[in-house]
Amino acid sequence: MMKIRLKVNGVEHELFVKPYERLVDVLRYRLHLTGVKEGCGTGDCGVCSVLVDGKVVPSCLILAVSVDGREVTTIEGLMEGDELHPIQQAFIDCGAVQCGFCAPGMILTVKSLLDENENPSVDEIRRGISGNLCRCTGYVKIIEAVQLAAKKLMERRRTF
Amino acid sequence: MEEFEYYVPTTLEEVIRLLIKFGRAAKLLAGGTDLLVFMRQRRITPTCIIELNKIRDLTAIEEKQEGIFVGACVRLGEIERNSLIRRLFIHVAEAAGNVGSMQIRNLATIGGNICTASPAGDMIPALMVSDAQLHIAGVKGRRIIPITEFFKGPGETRLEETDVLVGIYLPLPKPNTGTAFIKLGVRGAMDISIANVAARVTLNGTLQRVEEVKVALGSVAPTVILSKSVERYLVGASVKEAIERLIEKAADSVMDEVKPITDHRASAQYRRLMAAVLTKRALRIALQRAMEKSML
Repeated sequence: MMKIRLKVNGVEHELFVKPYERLVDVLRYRLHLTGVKEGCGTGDCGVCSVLVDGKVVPSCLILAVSVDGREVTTIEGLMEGDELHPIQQAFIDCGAVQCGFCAPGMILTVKSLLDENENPSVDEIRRGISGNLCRCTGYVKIIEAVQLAAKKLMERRRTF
Repeated sequence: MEEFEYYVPTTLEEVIRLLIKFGRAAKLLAGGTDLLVFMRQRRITPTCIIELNKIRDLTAIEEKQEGIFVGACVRLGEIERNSLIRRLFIHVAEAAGNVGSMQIRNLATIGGNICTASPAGDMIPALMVSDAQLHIAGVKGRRIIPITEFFKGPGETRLEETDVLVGIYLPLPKPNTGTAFIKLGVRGAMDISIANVAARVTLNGTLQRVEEVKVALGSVAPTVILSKSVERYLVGASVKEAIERLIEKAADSVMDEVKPITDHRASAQYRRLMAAVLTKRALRIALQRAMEKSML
């Protein structure tokens, strides 16, 4: 067992983990953050996406020991107090969620995308979410949600 | 995954000591986007994992006097966005931006893409046309291997059991040089290439003649290959003739050089034809960029 420290959704944790435990295992089974889903386990589907130091990564392809000392954000950490994050709200407003299994990873990917590019074109959005598979929506409403979220976030930035 | 011991050394010397101790039982971990998949599928079962990401020399992009040095553990996402690489080696940035998804590129490293030694590895043709030199650390010290001599077969390289790829040196391009990288996949994202091509074209001072040309092709032979035949058609040719007919002839000539296989992604015949099509497109873009760049 090895000791690691990591900050998850703003809370410091000290954990003893086996070297072969992946970040997705630690988040789901030790910290009970079941908003993190596991799909393929090979980095192809994107449902396990989380943010590590603000960058989106597949949590099924990272060993927990590798994130020692770093900061992780899961979907549970995206809300701002009692308010949904504007990206989450946009997904609801646009009907971009059907079964919901891809939504946590998709929303975190969109967060990472909009952090880098506040007003992406449709092509840039498609490219950005190309690593997140959704088998329900056909992506049309997801892309609308990203555009709405981008608009809301830009308005908010202008007001403050 | 099976049990293993895990080490995170901070110096190359420590890495080599660990490699001497564990030998074949050890595997180096950079991005992990290939390694952890292979381990989960139990295609490999190392008993020791040595993570390289805490070694400073391996994680930086440095500007040198006559080139740039890219550490083996630099993530593909960083290569895709790096302004120096975009300015000097746009085809390397294009290759990096074509790998996997945003998530994968935030993890996967340039060194990993090289050392996995897939015939379809997207970084390899791009680095090959730029005469990349691989800096390797081993028991006997440092040595340099040109990337063109690094691969022995699919998944096989000239790295020995106690060797570590430290980084990649890219010599600065000559003036009036343009480059391009093109990849063909089924989906356009998250693809393993059906075929990929990188091209580099250098023109003379008056932009009338082709001085140098290089084309490298991936996923069409057991290793990435550097074409020998395109030069015969294009070196010394006038730009006008190159555009009008010689690029086409040069591109067709790669069909005799490739040795593709048929698999679930594409047939050998399709790969052979596409090798020529992609070569033609990549040469045209590279030539165009060589002319544009010199006008700046």
